[in-house]
Amino acid sequence: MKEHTISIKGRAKGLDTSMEGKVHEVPAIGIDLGTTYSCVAVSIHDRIEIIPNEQGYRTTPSTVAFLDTERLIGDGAKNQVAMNPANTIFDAKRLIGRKFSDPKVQGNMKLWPFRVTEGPADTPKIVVSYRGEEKEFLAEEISSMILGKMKEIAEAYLGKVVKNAVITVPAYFNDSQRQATKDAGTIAGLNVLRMINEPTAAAIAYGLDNKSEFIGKINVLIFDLGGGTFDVSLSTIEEGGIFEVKAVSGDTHLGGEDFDNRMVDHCVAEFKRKWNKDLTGNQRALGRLRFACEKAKRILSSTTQTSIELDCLHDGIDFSLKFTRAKFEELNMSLFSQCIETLDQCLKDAKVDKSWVDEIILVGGSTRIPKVQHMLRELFGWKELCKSVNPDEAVAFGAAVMAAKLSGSNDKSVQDLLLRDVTPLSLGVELKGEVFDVVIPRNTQIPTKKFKTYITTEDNQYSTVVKVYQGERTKSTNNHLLGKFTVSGIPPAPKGEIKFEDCFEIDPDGILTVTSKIISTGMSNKLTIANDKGRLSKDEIERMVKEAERYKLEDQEYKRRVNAHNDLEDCLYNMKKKVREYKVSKRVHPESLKKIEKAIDETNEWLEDNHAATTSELQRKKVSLEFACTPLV
Amino acid sequence: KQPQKPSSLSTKSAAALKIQSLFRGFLVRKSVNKISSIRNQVCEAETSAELIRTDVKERLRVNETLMLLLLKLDSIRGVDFGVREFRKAVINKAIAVQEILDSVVDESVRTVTKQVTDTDSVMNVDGVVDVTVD
Repeated sequence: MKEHTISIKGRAKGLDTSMEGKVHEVPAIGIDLGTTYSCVAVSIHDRIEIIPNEQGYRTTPSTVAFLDTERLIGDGAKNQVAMNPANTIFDAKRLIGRKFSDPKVQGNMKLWPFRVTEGPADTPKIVVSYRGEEKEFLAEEISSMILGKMKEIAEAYLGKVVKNAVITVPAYFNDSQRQATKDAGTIAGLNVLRMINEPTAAAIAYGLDNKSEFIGKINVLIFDLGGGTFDVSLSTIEEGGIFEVKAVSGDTHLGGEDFDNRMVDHCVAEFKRKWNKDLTGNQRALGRLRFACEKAKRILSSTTQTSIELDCLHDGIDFSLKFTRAKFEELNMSLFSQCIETLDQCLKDAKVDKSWVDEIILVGGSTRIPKVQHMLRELFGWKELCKSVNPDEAVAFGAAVMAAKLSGSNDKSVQDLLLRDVTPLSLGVELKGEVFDVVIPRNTQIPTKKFKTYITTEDNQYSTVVKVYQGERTKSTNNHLLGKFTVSGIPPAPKGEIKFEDCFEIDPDGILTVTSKIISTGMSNKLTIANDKGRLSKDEIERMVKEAERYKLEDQEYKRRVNAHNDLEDCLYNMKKKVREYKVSKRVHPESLKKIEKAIDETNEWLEDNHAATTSELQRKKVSLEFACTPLV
Repeated sequence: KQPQKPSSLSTKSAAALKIQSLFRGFLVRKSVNKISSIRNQVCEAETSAELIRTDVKERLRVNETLMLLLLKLDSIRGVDFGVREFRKAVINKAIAVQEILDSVVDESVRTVTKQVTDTDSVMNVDGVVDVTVD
């Protein structure tokens, strides 16, 4: 329990306490918490290692499944998704830090097989049935389970308890999404050293790999097309490994899965055209089709033609379709163009020309698609692309480098020098008539502190409400409301006489504090977005930490119970075997043999009748059976 | 020297033929081995499918394994007509077993809903009786 309080304190105070909680012997890990897959890496002996999970895979599905008796995370959960879709949760990253009424959440809900309902304060809650009862989970809790799994994977590999971690988030996650991800880390029992942007992590991974090549300043474009999200970022890497993010842009709903979907849709249409039968109701057929399409997509990155062959897909009809790379490109052309458009926008935001870019880094499995590489090269005058970093692992790699630097060095200057991050969206306040006034423009380097002066709009105005928004739209209500607070006690005066000074401050973790001060009286009020009601309170986090522990204990208890059950069965089997042997050799008195046989039969019966027996009951039974069988041993 | 040339040609083509037939044989055997091991697992699932009628969890597990087996079957290349036929037969079987399992689910759901409606009507009768006593 003591450990938990430390991690919560770390969250409340930010970076300073996390430095105190540092343990030198245990390396800090870097976690790439992806929409579809997650990856964990660690720095050992100045080398970065991607840690494989217990199945031997270097990435783990970001999926959690709730079965009747146990909870599965990762590959186990993904493997049974076809059979238990309503209780298999994925895409938690698409929900985290968002409001239930968010149109994107509403749009996604139609596609998810699991249920999402509206909780208090417009938060989305995921409903599953677990151990025979309905349970509601926040996206933070689901993400925390995945983070906990990554932690376990690292602990199994290192043989030590892991506390400190660097977690990555998409570049344009807004403030509440970042905070929610950080909360998820806390619930998982991690001390989040820092949250960094995924493209920044990729740039770090690249910087290390190619350190020797750094001759002066290099401008980098990071193109990250993963399974579910698309990110583009422009950075400068200076000699000595100083990273500066110039601009970020992207799309939360564009990635490999969309390409799969287009292929599946095409196949369904073909099936309908050929046989005039609708596949969409047959979940199993769709599952098989999706699996085959994903495989075909991968193959089409290296060959120009492949075929999808599925026997008895639907109504006993065999389905066979030749898929060419050209067809694949045609189906997904609009998505590819969307990527390039976003990229153009990013260049415009940074106010730089294409020629400004020196290097282009590819991140994410979907950047293996030849057409994507072709379009990128075409746009940048056939410049060579950098693929030396494994696109699936680059982000976790960079996060591990960052984690090692943050935990390994006490030198504050190293930490300051390492990273200059930017605000992904503009931050500002609402003025009269729902006008959004930007205080901190997007792509401003953080940490930052900006002041702006405002005046009263009415005569004898007594109080004013400061509404803090995040976004790019001119009408404030179109942006994301981060929070609001009231400054009252303004001295009576004609309108425009009283001046306010609003101060926006962002700390290195990207946590925003807004202070509004009446200049004449010095009276002020402030709002820290970390404590906003849309976020989790400290109590809630503490409760979730406890629950997470409980789930972990339940999982362990389940394993123990299964072990005890197996032990008892083994014991029964052995004793039966021995009884048979002794019957032949007649070394034990027939009377006592009979007694033993009776005990064995009774235990056998008991085991069949009591499937839900507890661990201790099982253990007790085993002991009493062994006691009854002592003449045999 | 002249008679040797056609013979070297024929040995070349014979060698090619031999290599190709051996390789094809290798591919076919490889696929057939995979398919037959999956077939055995499907058969196992079938026998257990007939046994389990009440255990929801067990049914889920069997259904799950069948789906995995199906996906595995789908990813085996049909190198030869015979192999494809064999694969198709096993896929057919797996789907049939899945349907058996589904029909079991349907039945149990139906019986449950029937029971519910029965108890409902009983309760209504009780309510009426209560009112008249009052």
